[in-house]
Amino acid sequence: MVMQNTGMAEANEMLKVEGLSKTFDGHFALENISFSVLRGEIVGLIGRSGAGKTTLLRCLNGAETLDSGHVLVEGKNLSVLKERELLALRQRIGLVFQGFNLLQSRTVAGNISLGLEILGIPKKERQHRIQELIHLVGLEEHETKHPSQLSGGQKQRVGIARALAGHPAILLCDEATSALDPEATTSILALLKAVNKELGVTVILITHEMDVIRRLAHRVLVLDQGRIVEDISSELLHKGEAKHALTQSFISRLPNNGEDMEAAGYASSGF
Amino acid sequence: MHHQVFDLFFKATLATLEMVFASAAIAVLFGLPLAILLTITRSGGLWPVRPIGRILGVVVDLTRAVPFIILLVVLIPFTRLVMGTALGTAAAIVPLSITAIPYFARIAEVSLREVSPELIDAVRAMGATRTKVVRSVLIPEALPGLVSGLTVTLVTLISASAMAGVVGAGGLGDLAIRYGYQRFNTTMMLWVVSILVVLTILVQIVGNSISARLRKNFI
Repeated sequence: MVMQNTGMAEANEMLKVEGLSKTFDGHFALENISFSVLRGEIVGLIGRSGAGKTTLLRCLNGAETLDSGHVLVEGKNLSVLKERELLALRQRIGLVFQGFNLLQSRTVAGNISLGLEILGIPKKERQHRIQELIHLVGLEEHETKHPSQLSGGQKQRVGIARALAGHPAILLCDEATSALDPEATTSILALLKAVNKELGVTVILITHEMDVIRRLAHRVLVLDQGRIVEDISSELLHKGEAKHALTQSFISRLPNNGEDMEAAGYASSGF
Repeated sequence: MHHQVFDLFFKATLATLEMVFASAAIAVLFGLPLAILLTITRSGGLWPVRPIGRILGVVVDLTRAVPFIILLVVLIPFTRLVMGTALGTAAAIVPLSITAIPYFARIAEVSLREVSPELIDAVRAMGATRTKVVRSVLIPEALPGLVSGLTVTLVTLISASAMAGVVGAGGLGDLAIRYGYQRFNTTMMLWVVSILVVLTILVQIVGNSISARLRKNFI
């Protein structure tokens, strides 16, 4: 077993990617990617569209077969797992999507229930957990509504509650706020921060918006043409120590200094 | 209306309803799984085993290509095997079902295909088995469309059941042919047609309202 002979540092590794490559029609979508994410960390993965972000996310989830390298989630190598084991491991990873991907045929409670049904939790035990989750994401008044009656931010809250249903170790957020207005983005980012802090869930944010990363991530990975070109802590990033030109271009597109924008945001919302 | 004539109409209407609803039930029972298989075996689908989809597709299209009146006669030996007899209302259910299964399957397939592939991928990525995706995503999300499809199938069955008189199945169509056409009883013919029209409209109204109620929660 991998877990038995790992040291302290490695035991603290939630996710480890080593030499991962993935090609489509002989063309590299991801090339020799290596990084690791520690338990409880919030890591932002930024890149322009087509940089390979979604492919990487699919690799982390075991949805793609790798050409080389491997992905370890809590020390388990995804590529050697059988289908059943892979399904079980996927349940350790909560997924939050840009397009929410909620069932229109179900209410808020029903959508959250889906996350529990997938885990095979019996109906009687589901009810209590659903209430907990609804409370956690603050949708008490919307329990019996259908997604079509909710705002974007509310839909994403349902998505997050569903992703958290089975007490996942990791929350993978794929452009989770890209479809939301600034106000809803702020509230969803606050929720994700709380989930990380209070539940200790490791969060990986995939995005093309540096602003999202600036507000939430402890560490940033910059993906360009299938390669990681920068792996830097938020602290160093703020000090302007990013080395790669692409990282700098992402930062330069931020509205001047982050604080200014937040101040402006509060001003316009009446604070 | 004369008592005996009323009795005639009543029995014929019952026979038609029996044929239509029994074959519709069988059409859903076999047609829905068929539609699911046709949908999920497409490339990029939930279970992309293309050969299965292709073979089923050919079988479905061939069955649909045979005119019902021919099917009715061709299937007589098969009907006798299944029902013990090739005559009567119950026997007519066999060819009616055989024609309705692929019909409903193709219509249902269209609704199932409209379920967002992204949603299916997402639920799959969450760790759901294929069976779970079919039961909790594919069917419920396509339900309003499936109900509309069933409504269309029922209307088609009402019209097809009129031909079942050929195998002595009775029903309204048979009544219209025997009394209205062969005995030149125009009043009878008009009554039969009126009942068929009313039945069709009723099915359509009920079907549409159920579908609309289900669709209410969809964007």
